[in-house]
Amino acid sequence: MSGHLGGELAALVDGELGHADRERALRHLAHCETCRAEVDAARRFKARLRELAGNGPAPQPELADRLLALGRAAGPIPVPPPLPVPRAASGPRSRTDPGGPGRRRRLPRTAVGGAVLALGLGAVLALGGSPRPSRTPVDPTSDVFLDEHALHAAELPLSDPAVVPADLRR
Amino acid sequence: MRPVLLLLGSAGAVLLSGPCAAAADAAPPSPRGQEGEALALLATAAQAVQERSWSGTEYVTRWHAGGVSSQVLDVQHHAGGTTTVRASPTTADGAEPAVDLPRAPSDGRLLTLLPGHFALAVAGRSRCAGRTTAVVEARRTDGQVAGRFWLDRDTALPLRREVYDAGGRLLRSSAYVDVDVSVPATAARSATAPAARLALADHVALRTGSPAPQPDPAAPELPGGFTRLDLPPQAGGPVSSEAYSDGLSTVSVFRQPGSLGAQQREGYLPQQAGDATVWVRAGTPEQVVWSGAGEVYTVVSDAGPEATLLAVAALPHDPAPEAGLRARLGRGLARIGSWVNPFG
Repeated sequence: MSGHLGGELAALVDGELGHADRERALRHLAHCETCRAEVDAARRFKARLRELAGNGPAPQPELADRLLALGRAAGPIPVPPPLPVPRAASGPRSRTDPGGPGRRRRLPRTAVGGAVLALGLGAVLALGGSPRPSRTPVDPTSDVFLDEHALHAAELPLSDPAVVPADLRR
Repeated sequence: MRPVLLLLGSAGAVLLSGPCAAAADAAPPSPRGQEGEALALLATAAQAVQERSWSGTEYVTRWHAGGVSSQVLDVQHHAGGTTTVRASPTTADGAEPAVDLPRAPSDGRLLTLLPGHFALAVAGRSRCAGRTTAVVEARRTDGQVAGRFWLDRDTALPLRREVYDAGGRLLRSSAYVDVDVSVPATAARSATAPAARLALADHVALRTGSPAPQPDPAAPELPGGFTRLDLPPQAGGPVSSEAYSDGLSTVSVFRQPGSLGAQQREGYLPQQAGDATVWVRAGTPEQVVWSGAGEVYTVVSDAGPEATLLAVAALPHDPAPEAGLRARLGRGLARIGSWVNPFG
């Protein structure tokens, strides 16, 4: 296999690959550390979601709109407004020095929040990259179909041997 | 190898100027009123194919999107039985690849496909493989030649055939370089059709274990004037097959439950058929695969690339995946939702 698993990665984690594709993907994982790490991360992500959600509802449609709005923004990811800080939690130094250590502690939170949102958006986009196969994958290219076609053509009263495949078998 | 090349070369020359004279050398076409005579000749030929035994060397050429290929075939036909076609040259390991084509009992209804789709006429007389032949032409409604048959005057056997596409381009040509019709009739050999049909059923059943698709009212016709053939039902299996023909070419349609895997299909290239993308393997016959309505389609056709794609476009197709950020987000969220929802 050349390259990495790419779009097949999500299908592998979801157990949607056919036997042959799954074997091929697992062979690739055996020697590709990058894909192995991605598969591990995706499995952990999926397991974590199950733990959090239980039997909860599916994602709300509004979530798509909010994520879409983020994707449309050409500029940097908007920083959410700072959360109100309870007075009890703010010491005298916060009042006298608004640019002091208290503000420095909130900045990493917004950065982390933005990064999480960006990662979430990226994950959703990656997962939505290709339509999900709805049924068992099959290989429709077998030479058996050529043989059957030759039989169909031979039903014609004046059929032509030229329709027989050039690479005759049997 | 060299004698074989010489044979191919000489056979090719034969097609142009040898024992099989071209139709242009034949007498002028008969008037339309003689369509009955042409049909009678074809009916006699179909009967002769059933009742006579013969052997010969046939030179075949196929034109397709991927180029042109020619072959010399040793043909042996047993009256009422199968036609064994053996390719020359032999393969590198000395084997002689061959295929047995069953010769179905003459079905008069199938012969009516020709006058149903084309105007038939006796174009005159010519010679092929040292024998005198009558040339029967099939023309489309626009007057374009669709096919020609060279029928032996003594035995009525077809000694040469040509099939053209709707644009007047040659699709395939086959002609006997020599033929021996004195081969004594033998008992009909066991037909291979049932075995082959069983092989098809077994082939996919082993891989999918899926039930056969429910029989549905397949289209009685495909664009291009291809009428569905009333074939005997197959042995049970997950593959459904239909065949369509205009009397000269055949389009076979196979369906099996499932989806088209993401793996690469060697030799297949993506191509547009109407609004849908399909995977095409050029050749004679041509193979086209795609998925639609929960099934995977395989079309095998000797009707030429244009007619094949026209027919393919008329069959069910999955809509192309919606492009754009919103669609992609929607698919991603749906997938995450399926993880969360234990019943999904």
